[in-house]
Amino acid sequence: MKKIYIFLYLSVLFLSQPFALAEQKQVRVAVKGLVCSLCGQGLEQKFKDVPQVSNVKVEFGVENPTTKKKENVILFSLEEGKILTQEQIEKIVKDAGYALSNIEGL
Amino acid sequence: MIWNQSFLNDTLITYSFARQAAIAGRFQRMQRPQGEMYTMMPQFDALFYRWNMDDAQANIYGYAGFGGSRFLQDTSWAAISGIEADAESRRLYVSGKFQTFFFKDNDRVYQSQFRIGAAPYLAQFNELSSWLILSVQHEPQLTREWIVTPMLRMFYKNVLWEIGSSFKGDWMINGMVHF
Repeated sequence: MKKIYIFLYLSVLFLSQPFALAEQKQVRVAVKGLVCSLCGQGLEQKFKDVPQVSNVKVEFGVENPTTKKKENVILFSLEEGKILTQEQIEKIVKDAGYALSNIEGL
Repeated sequence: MIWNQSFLNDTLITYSFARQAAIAGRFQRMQRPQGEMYTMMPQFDALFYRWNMDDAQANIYGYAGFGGSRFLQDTSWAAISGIEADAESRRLYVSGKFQTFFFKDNDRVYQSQFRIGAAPYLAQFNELSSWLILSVQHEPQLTREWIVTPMLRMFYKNVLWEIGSSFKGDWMINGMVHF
């Protein structure tokens, strides 16, 4: 019986890993003034430097699902349980010389 | 940044130590009617104001520096001050710049430049961007006074380069790498 419990425990532990990894929030940050890829490299790097953030991508002219307005955005993944506040995002954007428009997915 | 024309070379190595300020080392060669002039100096750059809009950005910059010059076998001091403004969207670009070099004996070199450009297509962030730009320079103390140069600007990721030829046949090759 004990072996069955250990087997079940290990099975649950093993099977839960891929689901845990897949549970990432997709965050979308619309940025004002981000119009040039040459200048935006610094902003992209600042987000890449944040430890709890991965898959950073900058895209221009992306439609906002709510307002339908075209926006220039930074998209990134935030692992479930990791915290990145709106204030922290706003500071990163501001420090890079841009202005925050809106955030979705936090 | 490197700027190259037959009558003018300008090289700047700039370090941004704050969001609105940078220091640079600057070397310039200017071809004046009396002979070649060289200046070398540290420069302080300041972003006075930036407007961040949904799909556009506009800036006003100022800069000043003090160093040395070499002209007609004479080595002396030199100073520079300038102001620059630009506005750009992903489709349109406009900029203007006015700067003055100050030398001994009340000698001055005034330089001004105006640029207007358009992007023939909207590039994505990681795609090659191309701009068609018309550059107008006024260099009253150099061997060319008015220089009108249609040019092509391209940039990819952190590298920018520009190439053009004025209506009088003066070539222009500029480049910039952003770390």
